[in-house]
Formats: sequence, structure tokens, C-alpha cells
Amino acid sequence: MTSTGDSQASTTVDPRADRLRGSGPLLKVEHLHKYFDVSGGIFSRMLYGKKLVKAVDDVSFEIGKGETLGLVGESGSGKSTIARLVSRLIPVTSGTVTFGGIDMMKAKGDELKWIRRQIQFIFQDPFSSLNPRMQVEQLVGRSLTIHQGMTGVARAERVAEILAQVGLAEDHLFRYPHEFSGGQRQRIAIARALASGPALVLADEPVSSLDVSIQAQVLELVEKLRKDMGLAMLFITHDLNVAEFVSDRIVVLYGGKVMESGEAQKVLGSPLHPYTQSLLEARPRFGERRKLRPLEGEPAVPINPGIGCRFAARCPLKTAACTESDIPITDKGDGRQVACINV
Amino acid sequence: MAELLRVEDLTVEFPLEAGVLRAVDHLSFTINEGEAVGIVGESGSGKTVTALSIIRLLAGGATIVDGGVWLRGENLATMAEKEMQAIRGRRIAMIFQEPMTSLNPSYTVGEQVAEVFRYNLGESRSTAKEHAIGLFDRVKLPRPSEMFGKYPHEFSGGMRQRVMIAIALACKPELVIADEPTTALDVTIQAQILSILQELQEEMGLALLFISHNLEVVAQLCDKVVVMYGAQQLESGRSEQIFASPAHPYTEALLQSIPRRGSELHPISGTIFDLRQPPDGCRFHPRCPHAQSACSTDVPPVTTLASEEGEPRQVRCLYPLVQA
Repeated sequence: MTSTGDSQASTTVDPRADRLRGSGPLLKVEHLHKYFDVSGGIFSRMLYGKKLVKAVDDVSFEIGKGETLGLVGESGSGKSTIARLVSRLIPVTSGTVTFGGIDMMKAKGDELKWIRRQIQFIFQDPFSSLNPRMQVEQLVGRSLTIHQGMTGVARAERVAEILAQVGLAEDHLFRYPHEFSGGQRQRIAIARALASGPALVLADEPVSSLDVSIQAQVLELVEKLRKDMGLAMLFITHDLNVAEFVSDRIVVLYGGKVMESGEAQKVLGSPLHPYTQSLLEARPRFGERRKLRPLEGEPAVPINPGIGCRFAARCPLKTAACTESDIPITDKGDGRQVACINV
Repeated sequence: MAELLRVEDLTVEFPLEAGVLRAVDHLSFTINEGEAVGIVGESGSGKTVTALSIIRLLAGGATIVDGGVWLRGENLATMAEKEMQAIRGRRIAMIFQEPMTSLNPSYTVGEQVAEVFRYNLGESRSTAKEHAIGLFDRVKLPRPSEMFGKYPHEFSGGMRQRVMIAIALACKPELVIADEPTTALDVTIQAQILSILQELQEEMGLALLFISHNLEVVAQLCDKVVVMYGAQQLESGRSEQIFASPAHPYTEALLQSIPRRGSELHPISGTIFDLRQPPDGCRFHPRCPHAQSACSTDVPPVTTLASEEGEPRQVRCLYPLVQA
């Protein structure tokens, strides 16, 4: 393996790095579709026909450099599937994902390796996302070896620096995940994501499994690192408080489709789509104790969804027209888009 | 309102290989008829152990070593197991956190609700079924009679939690203990479950002990609140008061840990201590932003700040943020 000095030199002359400096969005997702075939075996297919879960159905968004996009929605809305598609963990059904001007679905070889270095993932559950048989130095250091060719003492020293950034100590280097609490494990997961020096971090419910006080510590850390390193983030959460705190812009998903998107303050401050409004209404709050008036029904599972709005079945504003044709997402000015014909 | 349940100096210990672990340390609070009381705290604060010791379902060799739990004057802590069985389900019922694991997967949900009527009230199969379907309607399960014959795996988390509520309500208990009943659920489903609990409380005059780590949920639902940290209660009183002007620095710190747009986060530094080695003095002092030197040596007593609507406001702090 090459020495540390060489590898650092080789990364600074990487011509692709220029792609991240130009204007235009860092990540561009256009007409993303992901359908899962859940028809079962040949007999059930013959009996019941083809069953498709339209988990992600024509989703488009952009993330600028250093911007945080919050992806908000309930179970089955397609949030996690989008993160998996964007990181190319699973193949798309159709649509394009462009990162720094490179078509991600066509990238291969060195180009793909470069993208993998630039896009990193933080998962929800730090108990299952860290290999229990690896020490922290290995967990975090592996990407340093793969992407920068660092080994031995140099790698351990670099890992120690990264650990310090996430609030862990040098004597944590050679410990195993089971020796850490949930909050500390999530710090290790963050360190691992940051090790390769990414431009974009995909965070899938990174604080949902943590206690309130620990959640705040981790959120504060994420915000600090994001600012210091100029990171862009795709932040997936079902918690509106968290979404409001971290996001510059927000995309609200329901049943695989975008319901509303725009600046976080506007979307959550004066929601236009009835689904966004119901979500905010359902949120328990301090202050006056009131009777909750929740939405009825359960979040839609988009198995062979018919035409029309996915939210129509639960929508308080539903009209006949809602299920007669597919609802286009329209611009409402000031960067806001809404998929509803009644607002 | 008459007093329904009184918990006084409740102390629970788990045996360890060396010594004991005190999971609940001299906890006291009361629940009046029809009242909703919330216990809030983080993991390991002793919330669930408190619930389990009230209904006497403690496992792992844990024992109540001091204090007790009085249900209309009867001490549940010293009651014989046989008598306790007559109380569990009939007078005090419990809803657990995980609706995925608390239902038996090999029986239909209908049978599991009907079983309560048959076992506790000796009803016949057909009356029990009728009553079970009535309850399904009450907890707003769609198409109740069709749901009777379904298995838990056919239900979503929210529907399973409705079944759990139906089971808890079957014998018209006086008190329902709900341990994080909405934690695993989506926001809109959480709101549905909370509104069912609100309605039932109003209609049936049910008392509720609601355990949660979510302060906003407790603020929305509960009349009174007990804030726990490291096995002890740090603050208790009327919920509007406590959330509007917390007297204990820990409560204040918890409230400031909730992310809000446009305001800075103030996370609590450090982590909860190891219950096997509690710190000297106040248990929160190593993490407390207001701690003074006395806090690390003197154990703060529980002091009563004031009484509001007959409800004492208590705090365990040498320098409370609200003065008496």
C-alpha cells in the first residue's frame, strides 16, 4: 500500500473534485421510480395478477452544496427506499440520479469508487449498523484504507483525529461496539461516514432510537460537523421537530409520492397540502391541552395504486376529481410545490 | 376527587452478583379517580420498573424493599399472589410498549380479547365474542366483526395497539397503566391512539398512568407529571405548571433538548450514570448546568414548593429554579 503522503497527494489532484466546485446542484434526482414486484410465485401471479408496490413513484428533487434536505413521511412513504436508491444500494426502476454531473446509474470503475467516497450513509440503528467483531479503529479506518490507502499507525492516528471531532476519545480506538452506549455508537457511525471526507451524507433516522438528551447531543454534533465541513445532507426523519431543526428545505412524502416540497420554514410554518396540515395537527404540543382530532385510517401502502391522489382515502378535502386522474405537482411560487388540486 | 392509587416511598432492588441495583428509589405520587398521571424520564430512569412493581409483574428477582402501593387503601406490595391475580386485569390493566410482541401470534385477536371476558368474568363463548366485538368498535377498529377472526400478523402496529387497549379495557378497570404505548407508531397513528385514550378516559372515568419519554405527549394527555432520573423522582406536580416553568434543572434541560426551528439546542452534557454507582449528593449534579459545590456532597431532600388545586408541587433540588 502507498504511504499516507502519496495518497493524500493523489486525492488533491483528483480531477473529479472540480465537479463539486462548479455551479448547479450537488445531487439531482429526476423522475425516480422504484417498483417492487410482490406477486409471489407463479400460481398466485396467475390467480391474482401482478402485484407491484410503487414504493417510489416519480420523485424529483435537488440538493445543493452544503444544503440539508429533510425527507419527511410515515412508514411506507418511500423515504428509506429513496436513500437506498440515491446511494445505489438498490437499482432504480427508472429515473436518473446525477451526482456532481455524473449519471450515477451508469457510473462504474474509478468513477463509481469516487462517488462512493463522496456519498456516505448513517443508518438508524447503531446496534445493527456496526459490525460487532470490528474495533472502532477498523470500523472507521476501513474507508481510509479503501479510499486513501492509509494503513498502520497513520490510519490509527487519523481515526483518532476523527473520533475527537465526534466527541469520542483516543482510548476508544481499540474497543468493540458493545462497549458503547447508543449515543456513542451513533457517534462512531458518524465518524465512519465522515472518514472518507464526503460531500453528501444520507442520514436515515439517525437520532430516532436515542433518548431526548442524547438525541440533542447527536443533533448538535451533526449540525456542527455539517457547518464545519460544508456537508450536504439528505436527512430522513418522521419527527417533525427534528426535520424543522435540521432542514433547509423539506420534501413531504406519502405513499411513494411527493405531496409538498419547499423551504422548511414555509412548508412547516404554513403548510398547503392537507396531508402536511394533518401531520402538523397530529403532533402533540406543549401549551393548551386540547382534544386531538387525528386523521382516520392508516398510511397507504402503494400496492397497485389506482389513479388519483394517494392521500385521497384519508383526506378531509377530498372531492370526486381527486381520484379521476393523477394529480400533478404544481409550482406555487416561492420555491414551493404542492400536489393537490384543492389548494 | 377521591384518591385511587397511592405510591409511597416505593423502592425496588434487583440482585446483582455483587450487591444490589436500586432501580426505583423512594418514589411517591398519587393518582386520583379519573386522573391522568404521566411519568417521564429517559432510558434507565426507572419508569417501567415502577409500572411493573405497581402491577407486581417484576422479573429477574427484583423485590420491593421499602414503601408500597396502595389501591384504595389496600397495599398491593404485600398482597398474596392469588389476591393480586384478582386485581390484575380487573382493577388495574396494562398496555405494553410493543404491540408486536405482546399479542400471541397463534391465536386470533378476537380470541385474545374474548379470553379476558371468559377467564375474568366467566362468560360463555358467544357472549364473550359479542362483548369483544363491542370493544373493537369502541377502540375504532374498522369492521369489528370481521376483525375478530384475524391473526395479529395481519394487523398493523396501530391496529395491534387498539387490540391491546381493548384487552386492557375488557373488565372496566379503574386504572390503566400504559407503558410507552405510542412509541413505535407513526405520528398520525400516535394521534389516533392518544385520542382514543382521551375519549375513554372521559367516557369511562378511567384513571391513567402514562409512561413516556416524550414530553409533548405527556403534556398533551396528563393532568400531573412525575419526572424521573436515575431511579429517583426529581420533580412532580401539575403538568401545565411543570412544563411552563420547570423547577428542577433536569426538567428544564430536557425541555431545552427538544429541537425547535430557530432556537439553539442545549443538549444535556454527559450520559446517565451507572445505577450501580450513583454519584454522591444530587444524582444529576455531574450533568447539571446550575450545579454548585454543595450539590456534589449534600443529598437534596424532596421539598414542597406550593400546592395548586390540592396538588403539591415537589422538587428534589438544593437550588430549585422556582422558589417556594
